[in-house]
Amino acid sequence: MPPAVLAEGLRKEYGRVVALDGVDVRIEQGELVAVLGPNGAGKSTFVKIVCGVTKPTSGKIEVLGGDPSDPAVKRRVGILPQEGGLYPEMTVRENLRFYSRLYGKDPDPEPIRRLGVDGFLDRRVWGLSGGMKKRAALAITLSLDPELLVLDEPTNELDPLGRKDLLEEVKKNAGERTIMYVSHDVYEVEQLEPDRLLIFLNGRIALNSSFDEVMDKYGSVMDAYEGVSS
Amino acid sequence: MKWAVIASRDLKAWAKDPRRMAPTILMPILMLGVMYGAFYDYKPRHVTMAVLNESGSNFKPIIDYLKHDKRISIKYVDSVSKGKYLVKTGQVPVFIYVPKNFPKHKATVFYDPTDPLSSNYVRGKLAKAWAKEMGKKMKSMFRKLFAMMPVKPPHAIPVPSVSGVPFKFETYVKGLKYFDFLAPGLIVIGATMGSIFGLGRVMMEEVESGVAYSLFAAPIRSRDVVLGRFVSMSFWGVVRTAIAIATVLALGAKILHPFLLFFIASLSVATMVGLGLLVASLARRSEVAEMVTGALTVPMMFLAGIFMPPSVMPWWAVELAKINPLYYMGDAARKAAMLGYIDVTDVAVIIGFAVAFVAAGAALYDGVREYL
Repeated sequence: MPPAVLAEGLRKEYGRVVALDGVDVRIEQGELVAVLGPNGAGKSTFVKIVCGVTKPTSGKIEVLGGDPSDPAVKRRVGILPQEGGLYPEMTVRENLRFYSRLYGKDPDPEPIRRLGVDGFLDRRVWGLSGGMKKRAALAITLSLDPELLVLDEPTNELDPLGRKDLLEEVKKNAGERTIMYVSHDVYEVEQLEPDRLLIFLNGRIALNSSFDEVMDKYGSVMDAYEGVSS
Repeated sequence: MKWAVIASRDLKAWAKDPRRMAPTILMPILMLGVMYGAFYDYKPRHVTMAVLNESGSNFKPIIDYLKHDKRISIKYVDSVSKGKYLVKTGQVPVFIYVPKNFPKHKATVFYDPTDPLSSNYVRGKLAKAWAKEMGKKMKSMFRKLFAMMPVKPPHAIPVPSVSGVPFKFETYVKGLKYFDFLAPGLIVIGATMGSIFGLGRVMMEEVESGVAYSLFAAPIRSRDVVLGRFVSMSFWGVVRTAIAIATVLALGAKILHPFLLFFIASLSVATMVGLGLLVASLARRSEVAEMVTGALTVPMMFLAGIFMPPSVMPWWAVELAKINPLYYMGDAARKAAMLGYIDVTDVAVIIGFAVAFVAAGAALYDGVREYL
């Protein structure tokens, strides 16, 4: 089985700015990986490359054994972008129908029900609260059954209960699929208890260890974060 | 003084943004320059008349008079059908057929309804030339008459005014009003403007709401996103075209060939959707897209020969208009609507613009992914 994500010497430049500077990482299928790092560390650029939104300047990237910009690979990857990515003037149901047609998949109703989105399926997205929008977007992404699920700062705009529900949902999905959970909240990541932790700093991976190793060595994710940052 | 804090922030933000500053500074200069070019004069810059003269010397004095006008030049043709063809294809605005027994039989002035100012100018000149010729003849006749009299007249000989002009005027559409001249161009503007503004707004809202990110991550190629959007916006533009044509017909405009006009306006819509795509991809923000579109479309409208025919614009405005797709759209729309004639050159240029805009817009849209 090919790795879910394989990056070797990955580099991305935006003009003179180097966003990624030689990233090497291998994420196995079925892993729950948390990606941490301060703003501008390169984690969002890494996500963009993994999801095929942009291409690296140099280096190698493979997702589920293929080129991430290939539509056949993209079909197997689900992304929850920071802004949610739903059409505001459409209802949640219309968004669901739109994305399922785009991905060529019949949506699984179970995530819709489990996340309580069936209660507001026929409401327009612009009338929903930030938390409802995030839940709807996540439910739509999960209903398309991606093999690799990328969550880019999914708890932004969520209240504490919403965060808790979302983290539980992520944990439920762990094992069923590969999950890349991108965040800058160290406490949230500690609650998540991922299989592995990647910490990005200045466009490089400063830490790539299993969660257990991190906890054994540093005692907390915060201490690990501070340790590699200093 | 809290308002000053807001005003100061907005002023600084505006001044730091070249995409906002450029239209702010250039727009008024551009607007006045364009207006000057578009409404420079009501007299045509130059008119070429086609003439078929079978009367020989009877019409020569008129020709001689017209030749003295620096705005007029004459092109002789050998058949009526050739002359009419030149008018129909927009190569000359006026064709005069002078029969053998002119002025006993009237000359026919066949004019282009899509260029009313040029044809009016020639009509005026013809009437003046005829009046002058008649005046000369009458003066000479009176002189001969007085020469035979024993007493000389005490003052200059009064010349009676000439009533009746030996010309009849024909065109494809008679009884045209200014609105009839405007209508085809207005239909093009009405159909296309919504397409440009609409597409820019939609695309930038997608960037701002994160939908663009999801689309770039989805299993769809960006060229298909562009194509889908192009088809959808073009469809609504075509609907607007149909409504615009129905409206001007209901208002009583004389459009002899509404289906040909529909074809030209629909083609124009597709081209302007391409321009909208290009502008939106360049602008990167919805408010900038709208500002740039506004700054572009206003001069484009006035330099399209839609409100005043290009024949009255100064040469530099015409040269500038030649890089304006609306110029070809307006011209093709008028010829289609009023003459039932599809100008192949205009259509080819419009298609060329459409291909260039969509190709450049698609390439630039693909670049949007880099700043998401």
